[in-house]
Amino acid sequence: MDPVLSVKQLSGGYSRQRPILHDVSFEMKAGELVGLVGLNGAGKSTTIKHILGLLDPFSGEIRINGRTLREDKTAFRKSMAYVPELPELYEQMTLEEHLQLTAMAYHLQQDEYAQRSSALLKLFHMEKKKHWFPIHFSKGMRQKVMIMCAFLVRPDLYIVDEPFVGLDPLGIQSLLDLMTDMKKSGAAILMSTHILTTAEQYCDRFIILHDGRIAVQGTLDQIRRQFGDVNANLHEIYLAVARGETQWMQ
Amino acid sequence: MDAMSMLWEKRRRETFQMQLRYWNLIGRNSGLMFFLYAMILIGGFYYKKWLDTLPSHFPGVLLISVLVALACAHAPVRTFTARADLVFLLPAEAELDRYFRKSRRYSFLMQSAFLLILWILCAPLYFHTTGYGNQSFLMGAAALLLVKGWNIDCSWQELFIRDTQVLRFLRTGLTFFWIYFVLSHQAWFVSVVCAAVMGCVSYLLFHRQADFGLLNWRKLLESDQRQAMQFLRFANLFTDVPRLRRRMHARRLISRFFPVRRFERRTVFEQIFIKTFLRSDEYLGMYMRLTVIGILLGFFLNIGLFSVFLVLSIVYLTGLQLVPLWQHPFPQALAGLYPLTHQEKSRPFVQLTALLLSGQSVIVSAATGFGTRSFAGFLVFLGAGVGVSLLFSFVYLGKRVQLEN
Repeated sequence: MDPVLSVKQLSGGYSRQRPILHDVSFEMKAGELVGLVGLNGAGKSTTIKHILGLLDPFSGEIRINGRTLREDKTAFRKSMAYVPELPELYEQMTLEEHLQLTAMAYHLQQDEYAQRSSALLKLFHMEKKKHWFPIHFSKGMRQKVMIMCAFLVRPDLYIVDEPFVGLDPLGIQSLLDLMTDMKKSGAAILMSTHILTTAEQYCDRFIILHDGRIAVQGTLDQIRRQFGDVNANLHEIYLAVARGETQWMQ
Repeated sequence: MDAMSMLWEKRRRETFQMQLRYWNLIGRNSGLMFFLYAMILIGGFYYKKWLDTLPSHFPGVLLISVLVALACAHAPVRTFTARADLVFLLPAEAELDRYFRKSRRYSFLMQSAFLLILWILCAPLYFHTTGYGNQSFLMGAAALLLVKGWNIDCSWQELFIRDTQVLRFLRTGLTFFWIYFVLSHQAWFVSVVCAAVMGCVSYLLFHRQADFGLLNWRKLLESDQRQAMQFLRFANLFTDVPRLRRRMHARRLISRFFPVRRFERRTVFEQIFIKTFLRSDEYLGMYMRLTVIGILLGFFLNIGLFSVFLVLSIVYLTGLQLVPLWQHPFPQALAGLYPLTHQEKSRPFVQLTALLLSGQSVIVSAATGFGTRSFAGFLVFLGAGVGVSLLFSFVYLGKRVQLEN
């Protein structure tokens, strides 16, 4: 079976003179939750922008379900949903209209939309705010709007960028439950985050980015073994990478 | 109509309504409207006088061609996109063809209107230097519209291409040559060859590269944002406009002259105003532009002591455009939480505008003095300019700022 997402020898960034990513390769299978971890400026967001097709790779290629963006733009873009790091919302639209717009862009059926949106609104306790304008919401509530829009779609691949910041504990738990459900039904989720303890509990695999390269990737056990300390937690390993203590990687 | 076309129509309508509201406010600002009418009348008068003094070999067509070519080559596509489109419309990118086609058509119409106005303004000079008649004028208009359409198409393709500098240069050059050939009545085959080259460039360079590229959403959003800002900044001259996202420039060279020297409370806003003036994209450029216009007009426009009105207008216009600096959004902490009094904010602002306007008065007066070759004239201009600068900042702004306390 084709991996849901395959990134092969990706080099890229905003300008050719200053590439940010160097030779990044990884794959994601259906039903996997992968944590993308790295310091600020390590290249997490750039990687995500390349996967979304907002940036064009300098070399290498990105396939979703075996297809590149150039081969089939519609299928490529429709097979993923994205939760950005900072909520991006329309000031002139209500919460419900945001959900409807998403349904329109992804061509959902009316009954699918009705059923999923009411479930999501309930899960995030936003039923009463359906007709409010999210631009006036707090950061956490706006983040919930973005999450609901993405999970309304049920695509094969979710790209979730730093979703926990600003969410209340209930919201975090709802999101985690939702991700677990989607995983079970076969979706792949790529999540970038700094909240390592949560990531440790929920992610199946990790990709640790450092200076635009993949420093190390694998399951926590694999990374621990490579690190040479089976009791080390992700936090310690991450700090070692960030401090440049990388002898153990070779 | 499909959903995306409807979305486009909705956004266009909303933008129109927003602009209409601002036009309404602008129309009500009678002082400025009067000033503009006066400028137009005086401008028209001197335009005619200037034409009469032109030597017979004056390169009028060349000058017009450069002007009009620049207006043609500047062909950004207005798409009415918002940052949230990166999330919500991205999955439907393949269905946005019609949406973007509407955007191109709209941009063509709007920019053509502006272009025709410019062409009409150039007409007296064109008739005067060439002696051609109305038919040439209409032919010129048609040629301009054609090349505008070509530029819009090319500038759209540029959004799919990674390195566009050379292409833009080529596009501007070809636009200029085409316009110049048509306006100066070169042999017909010269224009035909030029058009053929344009067609080839369009097909071989622009379309072929673009077909292979991906739509650069970031560039698209930035360009649209910039175009939206242009109108808002214009409206902001007349009334307060709630802010959009802004761009900042580091301007390391100039900023180095204004380091933080003392940790005193009164220097807090001094620093903020200076750095905002220097680094924000709306003040320094405006200040330089108006100063240069003042220098050029003052030096070349020989109207003796009447130049004093020129100096005053420049200073007044600059002053008006500096007013929004006061309301420039500062971090929330500074808006009330820092232990700073109102005076510690208002005084540096008034002083800075006084300094900037007086400095401008000195420069423009000097240029005008040189132009009129009279030292006494220079003193009059300088006196008037500095006088208005001080009045504007200490009296007018001082009051206006005080009201907000």
